[in-house]
Amino acid sequence: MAESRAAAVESENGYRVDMRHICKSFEGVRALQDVQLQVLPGEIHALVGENGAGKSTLIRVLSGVHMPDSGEVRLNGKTVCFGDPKDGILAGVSVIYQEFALVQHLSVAENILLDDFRDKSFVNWKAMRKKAREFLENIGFGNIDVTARVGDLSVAYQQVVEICKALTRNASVLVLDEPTAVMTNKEVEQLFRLLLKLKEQGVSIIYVSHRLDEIFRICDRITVLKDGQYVTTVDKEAIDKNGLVSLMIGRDLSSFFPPRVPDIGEVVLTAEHIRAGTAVRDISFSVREGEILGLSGLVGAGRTECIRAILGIDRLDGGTVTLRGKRLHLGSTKEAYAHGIGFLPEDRKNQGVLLRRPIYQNITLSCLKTVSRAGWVLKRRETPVVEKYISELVIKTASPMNNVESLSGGNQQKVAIAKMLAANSRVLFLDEPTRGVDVGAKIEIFKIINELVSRKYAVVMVSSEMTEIIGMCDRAVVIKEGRSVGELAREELTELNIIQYAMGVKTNGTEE
Amino acid sequence: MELKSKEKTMAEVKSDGGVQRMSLRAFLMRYNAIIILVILCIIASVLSPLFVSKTNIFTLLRQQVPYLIIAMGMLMVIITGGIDLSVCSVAAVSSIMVAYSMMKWGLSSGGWDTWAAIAIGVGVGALFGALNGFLIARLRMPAFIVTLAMMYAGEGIAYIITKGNTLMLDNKSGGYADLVGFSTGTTVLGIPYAVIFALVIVIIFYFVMRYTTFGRMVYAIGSNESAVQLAGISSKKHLFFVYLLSGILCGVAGVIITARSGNASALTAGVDYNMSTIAGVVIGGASLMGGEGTVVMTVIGVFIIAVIGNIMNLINLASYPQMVVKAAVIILAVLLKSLSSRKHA
Repeated sequence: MAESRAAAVESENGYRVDMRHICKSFEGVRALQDVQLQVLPGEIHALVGENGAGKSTLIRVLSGVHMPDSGEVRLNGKTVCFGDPKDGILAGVSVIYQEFALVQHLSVAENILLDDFRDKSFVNWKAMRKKAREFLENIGFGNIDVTARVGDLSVAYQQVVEICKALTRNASVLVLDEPTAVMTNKEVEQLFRLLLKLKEQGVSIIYVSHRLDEIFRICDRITVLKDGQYVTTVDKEAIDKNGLVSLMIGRDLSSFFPPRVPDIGEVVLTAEHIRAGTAVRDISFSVREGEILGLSGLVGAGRTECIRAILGIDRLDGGTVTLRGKRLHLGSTKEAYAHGIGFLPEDRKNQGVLLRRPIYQNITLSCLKTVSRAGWVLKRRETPVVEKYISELVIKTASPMNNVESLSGGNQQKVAIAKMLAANSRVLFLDEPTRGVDVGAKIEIFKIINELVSRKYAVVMVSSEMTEIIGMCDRAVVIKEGRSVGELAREELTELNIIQYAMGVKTNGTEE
Repeated sequence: MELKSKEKTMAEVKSDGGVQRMSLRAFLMRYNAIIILVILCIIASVLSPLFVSKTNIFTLLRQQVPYLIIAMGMLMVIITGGIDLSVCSVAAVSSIMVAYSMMKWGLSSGGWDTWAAIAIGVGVGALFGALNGFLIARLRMPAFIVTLAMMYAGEGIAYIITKGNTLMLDNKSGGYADLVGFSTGTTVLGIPYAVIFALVIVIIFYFVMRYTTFGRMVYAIGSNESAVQLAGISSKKHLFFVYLLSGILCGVAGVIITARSGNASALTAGVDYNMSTIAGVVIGGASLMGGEGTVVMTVIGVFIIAVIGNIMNLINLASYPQMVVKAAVIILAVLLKSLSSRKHA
């Protein structure tokens, strides 16, 4: 109580953004619990935390994408309640997401002044270009050609255009979500120049980033979130990188990981110096029989892309993949499956299962050849396979004839796992195997994975949840910006170690 | 999952009447096309006593033979989430090639000659289908554009071959006797051979779609192609085969079209095979987004459109107003479907 009274007084203290006691749940899962964020005018404020700490949810509450379940959002001292991102924009809150909301085919000028199209029937090209040029000059980017197609600009310039668009809407609060994730160093410099200029003009900037170097360079204060809860807000001067990292981690390792005695055999699959596109630059790892290898790292570090390239889903630009001593060149998942390599995609609904097909058809999708003869599906062969996996993986359903849609997330995931196993895969790539499933189902999935490795399967598991990597894996490779930067044995697997590698505080065992 | 089982027990606890009403509603949702067809047949028999006559019913059935055959291919294509707009032109070119090969290439003496002419007609359909399939499955072009272009090209080819004339088979030739004999011939009960032939094709497709790996894959691809690919299956191959089959079926329909009258013309490309088969498939409950649709319901859908046409013929409505009425009924039927699905969304 005392705290909320204090809040009432403080909100007059000149905060531009003042969020307090924000709680938000999604289908019973707590995403934010009693979180606060205060940002001053003309401040660059960093928002940090691990994957899933609640940063994105908090920003979405601020911008009006989500309504908070409880708590208060104040802008310039006034309580606001946005039901829609449009309300947020009108009140001066603009969020610039990683995937820009620009129209790639239109020119810079059109994008900057997109809102004008709403109330005008005719376009005065000359006036529009002039206005756009003025906006760009104001923020020191007069060199951007307003007639250029936005899709042809560099990522940094696209970001500048996006910010410029926000400024035409009189944005006083600008939120940048991982703005530098795909930028070159030079582009980062350009962006920082702009941010500092905006700061001078009194704009409040909320800067979400994993890059500690950048945070310490341009931010004034830092708010740390952990597991959907507020940890603290500190001045940049009052803390160093290691201090910040330890604020972000350090929760209890949940005891719910089922115990397992590792019984590890020979190396089965080796990937060396994998390169693919811009996301994967140099990743190496190997996995042995009966072993769970974790691929850890921040979201967007290139883990999924690396797996996709290895399996031949995306183009492999360089590097070698070896399976039991033999070099592999996989052109598709079909070939991967033919070699006994299974894949559980991260996006269950769009890639893992056929939602609107029956459970039994999903389970035998990858192994239809083995349950059919001359193209004819044989019930007497198919039914035992389906029943086997439903009982082994404890898929809870009234009937295998039901559509997968009717199952809970955890059971849907078990169907996806069954589909992969039914094809007789011995090397499994699991991409975020427990994403979007409840805790109970998570434990069941962990048990399934443990059972598989005890039967000498080899498992490569990508997970953004560090507790999962630590609780499940025998070994983990940490990936940062497309490179494998560290390998941790089971006894070295701690959140501190992982996050230090993932954020570049530590590389290959040496501390900076 | 738990929620679902709870719901079920609640339904069981309810009185029998309650449960029955639910299932009747589900039945209506799913099979509303059957009810529409029954109602249309009742209306038809009230409007004209001729509707239920044996002659009228067999005429109606025989007219629908090419539609049914083409609709089977269309159904598969639509289940994969695609569309085949080229069916009318492909059927026309096939029909023309049958007549052309008999007249110009001397395949007119009946017997094996006739089989050769049929093979040419079906082969032409297969060629079109393979080209569609290559462009759509292999080169990943949009089915709408590819088949739209193919429709245009096919119609052009039909006119080039015929020079705009009707190719009339010599009615004294063996080939003419074979084809027209097949088309007009009937079995003991007076059921035309052609109708039995269409029935066989429908039954084959019923089994293909339900019980074969190929049918399974067609539904799976339409349901979620990227999941199918990631499950280690080459969806391209199956997709190619779907368009190839659609082309082959159009070829078969083309042969039937020539056999019906003993002549062939480019005007066939302007017949409503596109419209009626797509509408039939969709009225039968298939979704243009793919993943849904059944053979039996497609047959019902095709007959809904056929009966509407038949009613209007019986009451002597001119053919142009018929088009407008048909279109209105199609829109109504699909509207009914989208309204009922919206309520449950």
